[in-house]
Amino acid sequence: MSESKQSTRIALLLENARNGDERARDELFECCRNYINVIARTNVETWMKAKVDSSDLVQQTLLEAHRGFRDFEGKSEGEWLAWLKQILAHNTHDFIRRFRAGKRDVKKEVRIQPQSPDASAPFRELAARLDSPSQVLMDHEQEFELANAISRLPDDYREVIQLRNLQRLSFEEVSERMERSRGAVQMLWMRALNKLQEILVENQSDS
Amino acid sequence: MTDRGAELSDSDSNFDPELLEFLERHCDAIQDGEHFSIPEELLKKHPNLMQLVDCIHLLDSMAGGGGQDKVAETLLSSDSSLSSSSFQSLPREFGAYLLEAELGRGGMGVVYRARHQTLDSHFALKMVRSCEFASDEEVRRFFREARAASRLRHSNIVSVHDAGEHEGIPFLVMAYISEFTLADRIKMGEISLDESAAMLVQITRAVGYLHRQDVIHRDLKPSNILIDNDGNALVTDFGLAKVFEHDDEQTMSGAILGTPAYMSPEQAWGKVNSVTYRSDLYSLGAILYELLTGQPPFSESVPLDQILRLRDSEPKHPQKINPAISRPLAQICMRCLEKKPENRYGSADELADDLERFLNHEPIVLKSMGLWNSVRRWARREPALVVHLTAFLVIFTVVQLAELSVPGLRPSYIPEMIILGTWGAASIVFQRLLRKDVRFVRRCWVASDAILFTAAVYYAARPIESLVAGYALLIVASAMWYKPRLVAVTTVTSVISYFFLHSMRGDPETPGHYPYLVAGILIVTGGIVISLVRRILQLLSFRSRF
Repeated sequence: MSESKQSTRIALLLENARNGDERARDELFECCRNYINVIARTNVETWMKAKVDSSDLVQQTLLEAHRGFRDFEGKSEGEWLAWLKQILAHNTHDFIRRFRAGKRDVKKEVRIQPQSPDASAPFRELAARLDSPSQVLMDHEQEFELANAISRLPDDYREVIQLRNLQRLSFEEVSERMERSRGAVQMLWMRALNKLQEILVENQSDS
Repeated sequence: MTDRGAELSDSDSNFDPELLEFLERHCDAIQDGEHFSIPEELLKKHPNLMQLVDCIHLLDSMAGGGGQDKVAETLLSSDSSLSSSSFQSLPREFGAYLLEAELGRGGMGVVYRARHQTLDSHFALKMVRSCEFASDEEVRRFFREARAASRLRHSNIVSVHDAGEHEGIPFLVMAYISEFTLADRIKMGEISLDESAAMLVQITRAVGYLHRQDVIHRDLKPSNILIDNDGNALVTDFGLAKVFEHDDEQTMSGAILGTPAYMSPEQAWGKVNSVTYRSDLYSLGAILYELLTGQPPFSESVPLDQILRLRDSEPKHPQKINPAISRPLAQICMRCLEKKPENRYGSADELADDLERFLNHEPIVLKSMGLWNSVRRWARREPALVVHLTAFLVIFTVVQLAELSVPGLRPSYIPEMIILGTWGAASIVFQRLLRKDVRFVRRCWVASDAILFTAAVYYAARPIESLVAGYALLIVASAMWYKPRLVAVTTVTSVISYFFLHSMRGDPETPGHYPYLVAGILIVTGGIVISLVRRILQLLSFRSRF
């Protein structure tokens, strides 16, 4: 299961899915779940400064991407990931607003009904606006590999990386959130970093 | 995946604190957007350092260029309704108000100076900070503050004009007094004693009004008291106010709320149910104490020490810090700072009345505390000395009774009394030195205890073996300082003294290995006491993380 193979696999899946292969499309979305997961959690928790269940947000995003797939015109993985990220940002916005305004019970309020076709119009515009600057695309691909590597970490490693590096909490805050001593959290962080780096190197050498 | 275990132990054996420190600093630097060079030596030791650093960079770029701002930017791109505190520039519109400047950040909110655009007048607008939105409890508390405050009308209380939710952000609008708090005023210095008392009368009257309205403030402190242009003090920030009327939403579950320096002991120890209006009187006393002496009653920098002292010791007498403080004023202040709520003033108005009497040069009506309470207060202020003197009194009584029953029989009587007297005098000297913060006084004190005890036993009549139990007592008693090191000093001195004692006065018929058993018992006792003290300290430091 190498990451770079997966990248090329994504391009392949993307092409097949665009040609109307439904199975390829489902597989494509399944591949991107890790990526959306990591980004969603990072955005929401950075914003809320608390632990929040963002699985509904991930679900909603994948659902909308699924629905708006016909309107996506990009070809590369980079464009694809950027497009997903835009939908996610939009949904995160809604998610946080609902989370605040309503009595903070997100599950009840997340729309599960498909939207009217017009609702995907903003995404068409978003996709059209993306002029695929190569630097940005490179970043997105790297981030995709990174997200996959993160999701392969053991639970507590993933948690410490999520809190310290992605949510940029101080070790004090991390140790409070994880209910471990500061020293233990630091050790865990270092091991997690080592492991993450190993996974990334492993995948590079595979290609 | 199968080799994960091996890798873990491998990275453990390679653990290098230097590496950890470097990565930590590097991580901080990256997150602050700075650059950091990699030291050559470290790179030689850890060939994968470059990759680790790359990894941190990659993670950080994934987190988003400018941290929260970047997230906010993406989130705000299509709609500005998320306009929340931390990243938007001022001035900006917020409903009918124009937010002009940030006045301060409280426990859970940001306060802005806001101009009502139609009325064209200034208000203080407080909103819950964006990051606090996740918690229902906080939003509830916020509106509870609004409700409690909107019913209040008093010239020394900041009035609440409006409250609501704008674009999902709860806010509260209060009268705009000034940017200047009592804390700022204290920092500027030069408040005369009469001025201090007069200011406290205003605050206390306002608090008395609050209490009559069944509102306990719970977080009175200099930074919650605003000073207007005429120098009047106004109480604000009812964030913690517990409305003890009909409020079934109180779910505070003993969490420590409030600022330790001005908190009453009952609040500091999280006894939520015993927090009454008299807890506010304590805070008023703490504010008065700071106005008079320039420092809060317990100025330990560590919250743990503050809380420990709050319960176990008395603040320094104000007159000792500032001799200019008159006796009645100091008495009023100390009465508010009583540990037991029932020993404080009966109400805020009683306190204000007494302060006014002081200002008018009339005698204050503070009723006497009674001898017993005074003794207890002294005992709390000088615990070590009191413990020593009590012990001497007991020993003195026993020795005296023995002497009276068979007069003149014991040649040890005179030296015993001399040693006891010396010991008592030494204790008083040590207590004085301790108060002057001389270094190592405690260590010298516990060591001299063991030595003087040895001297006392040395002169005692044979057989002396049963008196050896006193060493164990000394070791246990030294734990009352809450310092593991002092227990260690006592244990070591005791063991050495014991061997000395045994060699000089030991019973020749004692089997040769007995002294070693006794020494062993003493050492084990010391060890157990040290571990208990450590545990207590850990528990306390856990509690005081707020």
